[in-house]
Amino acid sequence: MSADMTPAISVRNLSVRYRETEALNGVGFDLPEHALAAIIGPNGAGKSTLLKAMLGFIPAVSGEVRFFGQPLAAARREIAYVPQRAEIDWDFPIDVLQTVLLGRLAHLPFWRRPGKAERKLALDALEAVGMQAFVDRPIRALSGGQQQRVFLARALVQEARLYLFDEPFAGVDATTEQAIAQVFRQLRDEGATVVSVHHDLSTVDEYFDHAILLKRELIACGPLAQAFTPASIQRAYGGRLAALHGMAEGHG
Amino acid sequence: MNATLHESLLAFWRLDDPNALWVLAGACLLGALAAVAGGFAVLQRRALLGDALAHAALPGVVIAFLLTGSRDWPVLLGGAAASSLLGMLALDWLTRRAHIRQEAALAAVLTSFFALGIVLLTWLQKNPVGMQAGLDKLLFGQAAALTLDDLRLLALLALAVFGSVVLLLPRLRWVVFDPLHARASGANEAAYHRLLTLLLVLAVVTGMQLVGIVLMAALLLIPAAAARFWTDRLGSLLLLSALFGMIAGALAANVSHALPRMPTGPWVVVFLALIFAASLLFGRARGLLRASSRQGS
Repeated sequence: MSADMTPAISVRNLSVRYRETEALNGVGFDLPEHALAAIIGPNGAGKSTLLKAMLGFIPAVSGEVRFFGQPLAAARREIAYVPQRAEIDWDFPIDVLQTVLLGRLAHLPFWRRPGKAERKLALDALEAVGMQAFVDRPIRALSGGQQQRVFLARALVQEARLYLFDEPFAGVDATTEQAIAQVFRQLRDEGATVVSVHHDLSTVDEYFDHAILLKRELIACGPLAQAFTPASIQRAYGGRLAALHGMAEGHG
Repeated sequence: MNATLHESLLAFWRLDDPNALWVLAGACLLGALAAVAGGFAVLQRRALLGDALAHAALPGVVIAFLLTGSRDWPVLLGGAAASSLLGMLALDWLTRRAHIRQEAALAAVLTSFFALGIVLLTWLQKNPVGMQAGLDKLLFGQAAALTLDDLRLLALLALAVFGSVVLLLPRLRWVVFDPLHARASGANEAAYHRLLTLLLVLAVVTGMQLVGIVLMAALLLIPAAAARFWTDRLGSLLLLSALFGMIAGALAANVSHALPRMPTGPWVVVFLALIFAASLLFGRARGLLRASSRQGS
């Protein structure tokens, strides 16, 4: 069996409700391996909810999710998840190196502490995101962008096949934005699959090669040329934004 | 202040009275236990849960005494833990199922359990058996009542707690700092959180002997809050918290031993407050004086 034929993520008929309101309705798509995909949609479209439901944080009313053809429980080690910055207590007493080392804990039995090998991986990852000078700093002393890069380094040491990011570009500086985009491409080129909740329509073409458009229901999923079209953007955002995006494209 | 009080305070530290030794060791262990459990609670942003659990334990203590007629510590601890866990379940149900806000649910559970406990206690005090039970001492703590048997049990509990905290520290850091990441990576995050809740219940029901129910929040929270001024590392934060809890416990045990009629709890809190004030000023990581010296340079 060819591994390339099995999608990295396969979602079928996924529905999620928050109390009475419908957050996701019958979402289904296949994302091939080695894709670098943006989850796009207006506020409240269910982008983060989709990630969280896929990972089992939120109970789904219905639906099935498979990673590399396996159920979530069997695939967890292959998945690196990076939560939204807003969900983290950045005042927590932990330094940069310790934060990155968390990415290796799933690979060790519960009584084992990260050792030399893990440390080496963590330092390499910090170097890859330009944070090697901050190893001993408490995370509370970092800027938002630096904190995001530390989380990026933590994801790197997980050596996963699938990376799931929840709004990594939210509120970061230009250096960090470039660093994240570069790591995304590098991960994809090395054979991983990357999925990221994304807000900025103007950078989708630059940073991604696939798009998953969402507005509680799936609007489109596929390579940018098929899925990130003016027609599907209009269906997700309504007329005005699609026109704006068309203008931006015209100028670029 | 008279010479005899002064003498008896000092005599405590000669430890030639074996009872003074149990009380000292017990108070140190209780202080450290509560400070470590409370440290995790602070980091999990559920600092006041411990206070609610302490208040919820009171009816359990009284009912355990009524049912068994025994004042033995294990019996009373069992009652306290059962009632405290019941309070925890009520809290959980109110927030999850009945969609009541966390602080309202905490207030409802804390006050109603405590009120029920006081009603039972008052009724108990009116009959001669109950008057001698000394359960009212649990409201504000009485370290001097610790016996050698209590100490043995306590040492076992402390060994189990500190041993598992040391062993599991990397995982506890993980699930408390970033529970979503831990869950996504397949860590049994829910089990670790239950373990920390259990630790909190244990600390609260044992800590009653030292600080009492009413002032429990201080023993849980102040050590970690003070330690945060000194360090940015979880391991040293917990170690320092434990040390602060021990110091406050030891000093209060001293007073309690010299003045057995005086409740220990208020003394614990007074000593903790002093430690907190000193940390606030001089703390190496984020104390006020350090921050201003930084601005100056």
